[in-house]
Amino acid sequence: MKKIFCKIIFSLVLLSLLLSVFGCNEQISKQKFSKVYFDHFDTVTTVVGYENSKEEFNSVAALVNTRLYEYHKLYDIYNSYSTITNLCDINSAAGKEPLKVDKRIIDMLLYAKEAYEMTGGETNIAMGSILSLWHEKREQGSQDPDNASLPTDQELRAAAAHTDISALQIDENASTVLITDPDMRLDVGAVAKGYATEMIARELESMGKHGYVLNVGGNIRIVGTKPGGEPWRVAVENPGIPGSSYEYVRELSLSSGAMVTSGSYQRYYVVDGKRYHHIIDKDTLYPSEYFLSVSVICDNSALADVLSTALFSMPYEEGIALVSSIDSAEALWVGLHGEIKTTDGFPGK
Amino acid sequence: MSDRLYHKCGLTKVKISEKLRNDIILAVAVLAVALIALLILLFASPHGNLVSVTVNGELYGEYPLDVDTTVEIYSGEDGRDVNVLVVSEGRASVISANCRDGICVRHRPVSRSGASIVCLPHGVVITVVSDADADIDIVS
Repeated sequence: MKKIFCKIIFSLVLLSLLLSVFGCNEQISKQKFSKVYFDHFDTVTTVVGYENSKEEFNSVAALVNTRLYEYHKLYDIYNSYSTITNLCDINSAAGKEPLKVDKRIIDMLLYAKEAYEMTGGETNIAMGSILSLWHEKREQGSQDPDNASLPTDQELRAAAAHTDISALQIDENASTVLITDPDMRLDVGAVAKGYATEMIARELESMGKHGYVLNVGGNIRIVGTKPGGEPWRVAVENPGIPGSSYEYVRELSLSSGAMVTSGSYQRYYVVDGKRYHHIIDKDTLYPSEYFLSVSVICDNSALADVLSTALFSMPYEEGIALVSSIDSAEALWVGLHGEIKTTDGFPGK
Repeated sequence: MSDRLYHKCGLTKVKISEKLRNDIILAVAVLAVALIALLILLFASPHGNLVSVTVNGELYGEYPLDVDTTVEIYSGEDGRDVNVLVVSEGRASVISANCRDGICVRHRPVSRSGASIVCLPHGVVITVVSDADADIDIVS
């Protein structure tokens, strides 16, 4: 009788060992965690990562959030802060004197100037005066839909006369910025989020972090694969294709780099039954009307942000020429009726 | 024990003793019981997806995706902010909310694990979760 018990116990131990070997694997040592923040860049930030403990993950997520707040304040064009000099202050000082600013502002503005050249002027942070007209009307229209209205053509054309990016003078050595045109304003909406995401991701990489992905309002940046070298499963949201109930238009695996989607489906307001979204075409001064969304994959989140916004405001033929001129960049366009086009190298299905 | 195993492994024509036969029966029985237990574990655990609701990072509630229901999600000061979540035919959507942008209401219904609807002004996140690995880790 005793022997049988021994045998039963022995079998059970053996069995549990077998199950633990086959049922699980080494990845169990790192668990998946995620955290969502609502506070910065007027968007939702998700941090997903694999760590040994919740405490470790939380400290990394908290660092990401702290950094986001710093970048948010520096790149904020709507609010001024007593402790720092930011873009809002630079805008207020237009036509006056140069302001000494944080290096993170200088570096981002220099990047934005590069982006201007690279996109043939499509991404222009000097369009602030035009964008603020739309922003104001959108805020009003969202609060009070019955009285929603559009900026007038006259206002828009007057603002468009003050969008020359060469009026943005950056002195790297003195770390100062001056807008020489008193009526020009900066709006870094097409660059800042992607740039901040890229910088934060690089900081995590320099700390040796691995197995994280950041998503700052659709700006996805991967920091190392999942444990065991597994790629991340990424999806492109259905941007509201008429008559389509699919949740995603594309699902793909990414092991590194960034993906950013620009779309008209989230930020918009309605005037006389017509939608007006937030990405303004520099040529028409009205919301771009080529696509529902454009997604870009490349190795750098700042570049992906710039490109997705630029591609959103240009016809497909021009867009594909632009993407093809940039190493490692791939794009996916969702047309107004849901037709999907991609560069040859865009992954997934 | 080791002798017997040796004989067994070598497939020699040793006459299996009654004792060994009992051992084998016992082993098979234990394995069978374990297999059944494993199957029960796999299928009896909530296999269907859940809709998980968090408000400012705190869990507000979890609802099975395969049971039609309506949930009013209260948040903010004195619970004056509200999002109305409807789970119907295996999909979750927000049918109304008193937030400033209404992005959550416009969001199409979600059903796939990993998919979520977010209301930024109210700090509400509605996510489809499953015990299995999520289909999708992150959405752009």
